Amino acid sequence: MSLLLLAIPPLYRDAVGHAVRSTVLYPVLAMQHGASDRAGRYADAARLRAERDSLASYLVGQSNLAAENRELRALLGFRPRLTYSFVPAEADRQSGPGSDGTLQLSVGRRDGVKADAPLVTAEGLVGKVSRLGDTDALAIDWTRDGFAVAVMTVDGETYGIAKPEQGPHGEQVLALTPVAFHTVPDTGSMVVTSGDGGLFPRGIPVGKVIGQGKQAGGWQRTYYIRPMVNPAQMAHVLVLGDPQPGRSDQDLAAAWGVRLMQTQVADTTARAVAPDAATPMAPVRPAPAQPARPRPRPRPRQVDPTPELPGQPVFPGQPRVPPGFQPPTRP
Amino acid sequence: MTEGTRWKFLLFVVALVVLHFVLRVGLGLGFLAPDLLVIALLLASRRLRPGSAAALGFFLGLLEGSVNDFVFGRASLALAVLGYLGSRSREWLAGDDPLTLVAYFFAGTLLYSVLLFVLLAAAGAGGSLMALLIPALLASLYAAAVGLGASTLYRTLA
Repeated sequence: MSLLLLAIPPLYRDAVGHAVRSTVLYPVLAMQHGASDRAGRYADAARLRAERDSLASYLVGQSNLAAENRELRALLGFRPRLTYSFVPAEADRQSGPGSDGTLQLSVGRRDGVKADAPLVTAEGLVGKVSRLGDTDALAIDWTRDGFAVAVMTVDGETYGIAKPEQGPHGEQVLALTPVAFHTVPDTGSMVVTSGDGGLFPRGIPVGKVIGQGKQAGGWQRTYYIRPMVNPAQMAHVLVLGDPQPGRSDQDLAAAWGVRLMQTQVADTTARAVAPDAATPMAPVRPAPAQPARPRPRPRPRQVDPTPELPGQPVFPGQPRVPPGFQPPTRP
Repeated sequence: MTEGTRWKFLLFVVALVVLHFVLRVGLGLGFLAPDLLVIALLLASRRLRPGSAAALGFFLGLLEGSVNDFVFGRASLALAVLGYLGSRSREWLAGDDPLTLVAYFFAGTLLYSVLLFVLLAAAGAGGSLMALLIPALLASLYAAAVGLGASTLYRTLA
């Protein structure tokens, strides 16, 4: 019977596991949720206040730029960029044989989490969702064997796949491979997700190059990357949701204050060239000369004074602002 | 471990299993808590027939695999083998003195770790041998000490 459990397809295995979790182990898992919630409630308040203050100051500084950029994009006929929703979650490190590099998340399908969704923190990429339950999820972080992410340097010169490996001093790092022999990324240069493969959106900080690694052989090199997120910093994470059209002028790289030098984000394409950003662009043919028509002057738009966040929390079934909500006033 | 009635012993084994999940999963203590699941199985298999001990191991493995996806099926197999061997061990490891019990719990927990490592390695997720050995030895010593304490407590109460 044990061998049968090993041999059954993952779908049935998940069903058996779910049945046990939702019956015999339900009280224990409920207790785990409670413990996780309590731990989150008593998180370091001073650190949270400092982060909130930094964020508020950053947003106030950016709000004018965002409004200005929105106006300019409207003038040029650009489509609005896609913003990503996110779901905040508490992450508990799993213990037990074979569970190195795995995290138990306090959110699941009911909270709007999707399968294989990327996990991020304020520092950068953490990992991705591995198994999705209704109210919880299991995720793997970048230290787990088998984790891989398509990355590039911010200058767009070096592309590759980053995988976990032991670094020069035995520490856990990511190895960027295969890098073409003629490409030499600078030590300390920022590496972000490239968006290749479609699993991780482009622009999430992954780490910084710390030096050349073992030779990959042939005309390729390997470089070590020190990840931005330490395994000890993964107690609170954000699970990225689906991209959704929004008013934000920031892409994912900008959300971390990273400026990509070769910006090729698909959804920034001008409407005149590619009406649908999801479809490949058609070759551009020279248009026949036409008399220049005066461009209609854009109607004045009301500028939203509220500073924008790069994402919006998703709580399905709940209104964005509870009815009767009054913002707290300071005495 | 022949003291007490069957129901008392059953209650004791169930309490160990519940405590295992409460400490390791519910309170999130992880490796800080001893592996009471293995201790419960090793204690129970001394009283059960090999087939029943293997079935109990399978069920406990199913519970363990449900909270840790990566050992699903593998924990069942490893604990079923451990239960079977634990039951058969009565033939060549007689006596309930503390030294025998400590050796029994130590060897049993170590065997479980090795079996699980081999099964995970077969699936390409085992990790390095050194990463197994040191934590497994420490966990086995810990389990042996806690198992001895638990069996002493049972004898006192029963």
